[in-house]
Amino acid sequence: MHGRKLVTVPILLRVRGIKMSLEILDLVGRSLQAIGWVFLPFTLTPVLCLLFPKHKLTTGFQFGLCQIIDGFNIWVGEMVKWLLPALVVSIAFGVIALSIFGQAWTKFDESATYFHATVILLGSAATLLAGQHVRVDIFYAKMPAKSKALVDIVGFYALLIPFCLVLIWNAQSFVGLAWISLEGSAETDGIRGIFILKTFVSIFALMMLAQGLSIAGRASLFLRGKPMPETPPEIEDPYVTDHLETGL
Amino acid sequence: MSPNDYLALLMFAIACGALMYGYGVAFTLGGVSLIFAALGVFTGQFEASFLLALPGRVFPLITRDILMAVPLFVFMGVMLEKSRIAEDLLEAMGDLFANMRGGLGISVVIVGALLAASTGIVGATVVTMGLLSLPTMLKRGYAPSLAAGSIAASGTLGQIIPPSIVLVILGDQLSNAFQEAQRSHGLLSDSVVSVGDLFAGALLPGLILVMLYAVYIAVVAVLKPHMAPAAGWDKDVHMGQFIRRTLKAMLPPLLLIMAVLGSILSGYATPTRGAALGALGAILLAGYKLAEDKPSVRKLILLATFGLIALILVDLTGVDMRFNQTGWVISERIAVTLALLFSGIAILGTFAALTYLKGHGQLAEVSRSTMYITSMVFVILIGATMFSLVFRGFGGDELVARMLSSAPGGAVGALILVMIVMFFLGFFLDFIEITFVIVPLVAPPLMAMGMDPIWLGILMALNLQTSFLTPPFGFALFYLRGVAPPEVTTTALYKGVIPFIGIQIFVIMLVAFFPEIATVLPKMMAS
Repeated sequence: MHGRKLVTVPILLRVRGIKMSLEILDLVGRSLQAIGWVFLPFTLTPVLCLLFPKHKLTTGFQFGLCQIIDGFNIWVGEMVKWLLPALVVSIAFGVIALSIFGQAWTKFDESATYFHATVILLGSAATLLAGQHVRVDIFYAKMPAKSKALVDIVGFYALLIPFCLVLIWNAQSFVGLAWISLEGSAETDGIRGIFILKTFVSIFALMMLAQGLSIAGRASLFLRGKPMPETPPEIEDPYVTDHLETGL
Repeated sequence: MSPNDYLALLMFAIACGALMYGYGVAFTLGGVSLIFAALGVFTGQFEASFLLALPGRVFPLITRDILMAVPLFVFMGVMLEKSRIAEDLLEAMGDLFANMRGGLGISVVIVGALLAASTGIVGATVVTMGLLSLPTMLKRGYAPSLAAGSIAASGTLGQIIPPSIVLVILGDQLSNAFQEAQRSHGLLSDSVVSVGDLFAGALLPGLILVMLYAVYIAVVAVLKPHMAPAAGWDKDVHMGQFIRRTLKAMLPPLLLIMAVLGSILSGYATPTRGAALGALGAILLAGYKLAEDKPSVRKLILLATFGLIALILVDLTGVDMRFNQTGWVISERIAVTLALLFSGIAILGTFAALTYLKGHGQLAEVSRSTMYITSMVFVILIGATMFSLVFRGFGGDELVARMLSSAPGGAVGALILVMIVMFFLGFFLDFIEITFVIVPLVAPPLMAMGMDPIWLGILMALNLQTSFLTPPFGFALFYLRGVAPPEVTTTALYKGVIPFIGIQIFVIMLVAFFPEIATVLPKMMAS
């Protein structure tokens, strides 16, 4: 379905001077998968916090984990947001160059796609952290803070984990095939980076999983009355109880 | 019905129910469908390998050229809003109509139509309009019901008026559905449907709505003057000054929005490119407005704006300025030199504006908001893709097609059925989710029955807009309630929107019985 060249025989590829063969790629893939399996139990930390709130080990660990995840995802989000002005400028100047001077540079025009896709894939975790992924808040807005926290925990396990894991799992061959041919643009003079962009699909799912974990962990700390990591200044704490009375 | 059909329907029902708990919409749609997929695998009704297609569907979604218009339009809208250009526009229009009864209400409708166009998410627009204009209207003595009703209605108006991002997404879906109808439903036609066509089709119905809203407010103002009093102009204001100030606040954003629309509708630019030019224009406007302390920056930006306009004027003369041509004539050489000069100025001014906005924090703020909205939209699209994939895995698309073909009353009956379902879904889901889940399912069979795709799209958009306004569940009402002061009671809010719902239904009927309203402009564009 992707009409791009698919290399079937093991060939040697050069990436920054390193010779890569299919075997090495395969090895990298397997090790990544192994690392994934090792880290998967971390998703249980919110439950452990709920079960053993007395142990400093669980709650303290969760606290630190939330801080690390939040910090990382905010950092990534703050970086990729600058691609948006770049997107505007690159398309706008591309239009002028094309429609007035008849000039088009494939690499320049394609860069817009990369900016756009990168913002979405790498900025989504920061968006989740900021609580900007839309909810149906007809009932949620009026729920007591404890119910909200419960929704966040149950939602994480029942909905977000399948969402992310299925995406990661099914993206393996999708991303792997892109790496085998170091898939690039369909144009000969395009950017040779589609394989990186496709890898971002897996990274997206991973970052979302981590952010969901952080939110669920925060919710479980809240439910057990433990100290929670502070939200960044511009982001509202979801469990602050003195929310606006909507009166509907 | 086979067990698969039951699973598909049950999945739909459970997803709607699960959404009510308030976990993220995208993850609820995706997660519920995956739970059902697991159930299907367990009972042997579903092939797990079906989900292997998932990344291959997600990836084109986020790299598709036409959908790049979404972040660009959002950027433009957020920039106009955060730099308070939108606020000034509303104020200036209110002042202009100050002597007229109901004038402020009418300006709210017009500004809502203009600005909402670029943001297009129901909640965001209604909240912005509510914060911006509700206090002013109440202060000037408007009846709470009329004020709240007109704001809720104008907040949803932006969806139907191009260039709104929901029309971009709906257009994209309709275009896919039309191909699907040709491919697998045996529709004999070789034409295509584009986002630009839908923009053109939405223009007339949108303008009719704006006009009817305005007429309604004017009529109320005449019949019941206490509901929409005139503020009157300040006596001691110098006329020339007043006009200058008003023009200064109104002309630039109006010209910008009209230029963007014009470039798209005339076929000069694709929606994505038009959106980029609009966002560039918004950067220049914001830079000019905010850099009051830096006259040098202002001058540069002003020059850049004139440079861009001059560039387009030179281009419109039809001189051939392509670099790789052979027969250069002297006039072309002059034109190219001029054009290059103008481009240089434009680039310089753009960077001056960007540097200023970055230095003062607005660029970061606008980019962050745009990133939030864009990610939200696309993650919903990803969740909805999962949902549709599993729904199709259960044969849900065939089920829908069968149900539609057996609807009483033939094609008309099927259409009415779809409209009713969409109307009720509008109580729970936003425009984007409905568009993405429902349109691919229902549109191909409907189009195969011979319905015009643009007409169908406009009817759906109008229908959803009405749904968002309808008490007690309408989205727009909830959002407005959230930002409205307590003196606006919920009853007043409900009472206020009822006339606007009446107008909506009237326009739906109008478009339903006179499809030309929706189809005449796209046809003119094509020829």
